[in-house]
Amino acid sequence: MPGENLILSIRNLNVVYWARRGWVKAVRNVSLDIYRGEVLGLVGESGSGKTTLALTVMKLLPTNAKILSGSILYYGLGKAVDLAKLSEKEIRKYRWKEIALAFQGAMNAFNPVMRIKDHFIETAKAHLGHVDEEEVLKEARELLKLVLLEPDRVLRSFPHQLSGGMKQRTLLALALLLRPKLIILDEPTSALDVVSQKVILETLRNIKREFSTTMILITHDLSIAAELTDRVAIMYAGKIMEVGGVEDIFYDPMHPYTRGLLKAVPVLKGTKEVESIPGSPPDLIDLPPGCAFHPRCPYAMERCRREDPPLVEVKPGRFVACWLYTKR
Amino acid sequence: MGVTSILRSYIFLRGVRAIVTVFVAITFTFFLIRLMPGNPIDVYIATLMGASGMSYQDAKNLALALFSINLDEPLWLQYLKYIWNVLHGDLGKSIVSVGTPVIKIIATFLPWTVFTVSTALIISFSLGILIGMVMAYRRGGKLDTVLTLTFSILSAIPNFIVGLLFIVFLGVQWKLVPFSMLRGAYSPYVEPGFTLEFIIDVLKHAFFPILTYVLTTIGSWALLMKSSTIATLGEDFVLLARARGLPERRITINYVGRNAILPLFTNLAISIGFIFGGSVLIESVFVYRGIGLRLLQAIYQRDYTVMQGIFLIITIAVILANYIADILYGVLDPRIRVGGR
Repeated sequence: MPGENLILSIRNLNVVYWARRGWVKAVRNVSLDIYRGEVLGLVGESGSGKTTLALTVMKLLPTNAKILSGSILYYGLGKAVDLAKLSEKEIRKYRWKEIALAFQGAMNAFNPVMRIKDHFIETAKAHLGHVDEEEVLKEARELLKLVLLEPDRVLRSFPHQLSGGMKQRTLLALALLLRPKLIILDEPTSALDVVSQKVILETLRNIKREFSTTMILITHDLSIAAELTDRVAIMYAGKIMEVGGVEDIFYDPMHPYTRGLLKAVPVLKGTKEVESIPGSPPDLIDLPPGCAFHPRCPYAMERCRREDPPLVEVKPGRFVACWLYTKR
Repeated sequence: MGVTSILRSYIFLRGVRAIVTVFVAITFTFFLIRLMPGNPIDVYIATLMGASGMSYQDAKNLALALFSINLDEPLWLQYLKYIWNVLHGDLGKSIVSVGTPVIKIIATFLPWTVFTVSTALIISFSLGILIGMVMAYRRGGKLDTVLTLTFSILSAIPNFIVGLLFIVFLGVQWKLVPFSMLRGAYSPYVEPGFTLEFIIDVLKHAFFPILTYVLTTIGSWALLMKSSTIATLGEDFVLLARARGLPERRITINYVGRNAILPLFTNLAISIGFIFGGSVLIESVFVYRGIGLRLLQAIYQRDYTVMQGIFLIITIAVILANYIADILYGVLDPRIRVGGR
């Protein structure tokens, strides 16, 4: 793939948390490219390191977390900038202006003692200096219309006066305010009822169409990934297991874990049995030797118990970390 | 319904509750004095008869005049008259300093207590909050460890002990502070008025009572604020404020501080009552002429009318302070405002 289309390139990233029992290896040797204008789905079970990866990109990790190694190259400003090496002061200019993050905590994402409109105004002021408040609010109204909300009512409200779904959509509008080049959406639909989920999906489709913003959509829900994304990366125990186009992943899954995930999704039509993957995800403090998935894998070989398979490109644009596909 | 009208109704509802509470307090005071066996009026009549050889009728008339009561009337009429008098600021007359209206005594002594108590509360609350936030941001560090220990010990020592320690060490042992000169609310040779000399003198006299209140209450504010701040730091809206690239200063003040302070307002209202109670001890330790000292004097002299009046005024002051704290809470937290309760 040509390099100039890249917007974010994560290379060999390792992130750990310090816990009482030892180091939690939350992100393990992750390499991932995100291209301009695409929607990349980052799919995995809870605790697979998706959110940690998102927080690492924004440098928002809690104090007990540490980036051990790796780089996060951001190409949005013409030249490559390694976000992992920026100081707290420098990264502030990238947050929200270049990369915005709308996460699953939308229920509680707004300051309870401030009106919604002040959230928009202060965000603009933090990045653009002195701004005309009316201009910001005009822009905010447009964005709120785009996410299918009543602009004036929402802007006037305090956060507790909005429903969960409304807050989530308001957060999406706020994320678009500074026209970031990349938006990371962390579980935008979880904790919402089905109707609200549907509205969010529609909103996201609108955003994709209107702005052609690059998006990383983090989800554990395969059906949402199937509906919205162009490419999908599957994560398991802090590691990327498989990357490919959305059709490839769903119609021709390669990694045994991806296959297991797809079998675990119920379907409305047909007679397919729902099968769960036997066993449970490994302890991230005390990982099994070799491939982290081998204790649950029906195809596990001797080699899988000894060596961790690297993520290799088996076909153009198709990456898999599994000894079944790596001839070496 | 507009936000202003909701706000108004919140203040209104709280106000109704405060008035009802005051009313209950007045009622209690009335019945306590009358329904106790050997009630103060009978005791006083007996004392008058014994001490000055008055006839029962004379003693009774004098007592009833002082208490502003006519015992021959039915209880409900006495009650209504009492309420009527209280509403007009008539709390009866002192038994000991005969003829001095209780309301006048309160007007002389109460301002000094309100002055010291509110100054101390403002200093200790704002200082405690600042220190608590610093401790939360540096939790686990040396400063936090030292301060947590210090504050835990300080808030465990009763305030009058701290006052006594000041007098024993600064006054008696090392002779650094002439505490005997600092009795009263101001020196007798200084003419009260809006002069620099008088203000400095007042501050000198109030300094140690205020310092004692502050020292004994600041610890709990700091520790409360520390835990509240730590809880707020873990909130999603703080993380999102950082994700939005807001300046750290703004996050600390508008996001963390502003939200962490909210639960402390409930405690503020409660502590006002405690400090008023504590003033009895502190003021007698430093011989500071406030309402606490006067109450103690009234208790020693069995000056029932004064006691009754001061109890009532303290109760009303605490209810009023609670009401103000409630309104402030409503202004600070929009979620409470809409609740209307």
